Amino acid sequence: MKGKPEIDHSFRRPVGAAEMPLGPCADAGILVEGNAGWRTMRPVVDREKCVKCMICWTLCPDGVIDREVNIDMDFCKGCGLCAHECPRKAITMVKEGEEA
Amino acid sequence: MSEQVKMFLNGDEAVAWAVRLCRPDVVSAYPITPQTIVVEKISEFVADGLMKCQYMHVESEHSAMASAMGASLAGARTFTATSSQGLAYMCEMLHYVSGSRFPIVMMNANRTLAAPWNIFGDQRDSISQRDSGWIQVYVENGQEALDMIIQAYRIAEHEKVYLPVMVNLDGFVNTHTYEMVEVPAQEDVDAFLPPFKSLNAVDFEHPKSYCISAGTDWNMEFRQQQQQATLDAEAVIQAVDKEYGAAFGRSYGGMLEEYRMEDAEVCLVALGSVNGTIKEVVDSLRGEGKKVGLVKLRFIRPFPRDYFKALAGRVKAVGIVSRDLSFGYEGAIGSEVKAAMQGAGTAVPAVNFVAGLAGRDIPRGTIAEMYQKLERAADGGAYQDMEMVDMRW
Amino acid sequence: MIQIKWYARGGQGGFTACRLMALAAVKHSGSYVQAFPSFGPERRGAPVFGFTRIDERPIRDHSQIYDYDYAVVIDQTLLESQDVMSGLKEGGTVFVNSTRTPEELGLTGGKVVTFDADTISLEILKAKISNTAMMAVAALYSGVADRKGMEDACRELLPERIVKKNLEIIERVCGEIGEVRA
Repeated sequence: MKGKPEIDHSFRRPVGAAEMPLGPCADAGILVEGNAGWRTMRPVVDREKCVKCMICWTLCPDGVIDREVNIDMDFCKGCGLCAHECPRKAITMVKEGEEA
Repeated sequence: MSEQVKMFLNGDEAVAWAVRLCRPDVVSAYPITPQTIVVEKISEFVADGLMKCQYMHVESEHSAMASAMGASLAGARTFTATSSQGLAYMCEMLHYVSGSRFPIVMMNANRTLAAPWNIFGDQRDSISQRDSGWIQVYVENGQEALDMIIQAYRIAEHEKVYLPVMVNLDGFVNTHTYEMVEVPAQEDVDAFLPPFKSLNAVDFEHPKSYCISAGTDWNMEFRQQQQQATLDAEAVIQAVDKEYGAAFGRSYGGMLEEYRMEDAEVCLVALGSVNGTIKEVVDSLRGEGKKVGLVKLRFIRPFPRDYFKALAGRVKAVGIVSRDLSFGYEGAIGSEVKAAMQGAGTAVPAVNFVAGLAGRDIPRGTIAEMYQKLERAADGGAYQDMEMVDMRW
Repeated sequence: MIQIKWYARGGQGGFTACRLMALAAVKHSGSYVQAFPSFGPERRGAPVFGFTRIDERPIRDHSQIYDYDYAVVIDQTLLESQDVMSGLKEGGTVFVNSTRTPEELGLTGGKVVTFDADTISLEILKAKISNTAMMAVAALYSGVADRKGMEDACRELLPERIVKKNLEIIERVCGEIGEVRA
């Protein structure tokens, strides 16, 4: 996804007192792990129907849809707002673990 | 005594029920986790007409205590509750209330102080206010919480005391834990706690100036009076606890409770809910033939100096479990217990175990290790004055 | 002492089930009980753990529960991030709300009972709130409470408008499992 930091999977929390930051602070603007563990439904985009109106991009509360209508599954919570609002019904919500 | 009703309540709800039974005239409320359920439950009682009191929604904890003081000044039996950042916010008012001698009762949900920010339980909030002139008691469970709110009003409103009382519950471990709690009948609480007749409320027949300033020439005499009242509270605490036991079938030993201390060689001293866990460990170790005991310290102000002075002659090592830490030194109550023991002139090894900060659990295994360390110290082995337990490094 | 750990997500009533179980045990056999939650920042969907202790003597232990006799997993998606088997005591049972078998769920090393609570809940409540159903499953298998104990607990603990439906759920679960399973 353009313009968004990648998850730094090599990030590790302090090991030993010497690695602790000065006081309770942490580097910002980095992603250290995904946050989609409780998603039970996931959005699937039908490219034939999508006209790139960008309504889903505008409305996504998590900002995980980019301008190419790629959805970042590391962070999508499966709220279904995109599917609900898409004027072309181009997005369907599919149960996790099942095929579209 | 009428039948007490068994209810399934968490610590916060138990406090709310106790407050209801005490018939306060005024409750001032500002919510903060993990105390919120107290003020929410009381607001439900008031809304349902089950409590007849003025319920003040205030905009901050400083205002909660200021308005409580104003209410007490007007002759009202008053209640408020807070925690952590809220207690810190009302700090100057704590001193105002105690110095002015208003018998307010406040529940405090023990929660750590930011920074780092955290909602979970330790006793840094109330222990850091031990100089504020408030009488402070720490409870082990929901039943004790309910009982101590009722006792607190009797202690506070006793003419020899007339000081505010803070009833402390461990955040989440007490406040949000559900247990069966026996709730006394209203008429029995009324008999135990008569209507409040203030000794220092405003009286248009006999006007007074309140909260006057006292210069260098008079101030220390007010402090001497306040000190005497706080010391006198100890006898009142014992008497009220005994009377409560007679009235409701439950008493807690007053200033402190000894658990299996008769022939104990080493013991722990602790405040709050961890005492319950320690009692389990004591029983377990006693089953193995170890002579261990527990002093459940309930009141830290007034402080039972003479008890700890005498304790130095009874045991071979003492551990104080502190859910607080005065940075640059040690757990504050640890220091106080050690100092009181020093007064005896005998050098008994005393270890301050700092544990359970910000809601970190204190498991039975950790407590058993504390006793092991104390046994080594009692045998002449090395020990640390203070150690933080269960750390990553 | 019996110790039970509850696994749910915020909004699924996991802690309510934890308390219902405790109160049902009190109603059933006058036990001493303790029920407490453990959670991080509160939000819908976040994992919420509940702990129930049941004993014949007063419960004084206030430490967390590390080893449990029973675990109840109300949301099976939690199995991806939670290891529910390692804390299970020998001879204990894990109950999972799922149509899949323990093998399909990848749970080994202890007794696992799966039960399709969602279907019953959807039918009666018109929503996938399967906390009461799973509480009933665990109560019946463990013997901690019988049907009457659970019903009394529901009447006392739940808001009046949902009591009837929850009693229906208990009735259905009892019907499927049998009233006394333990």
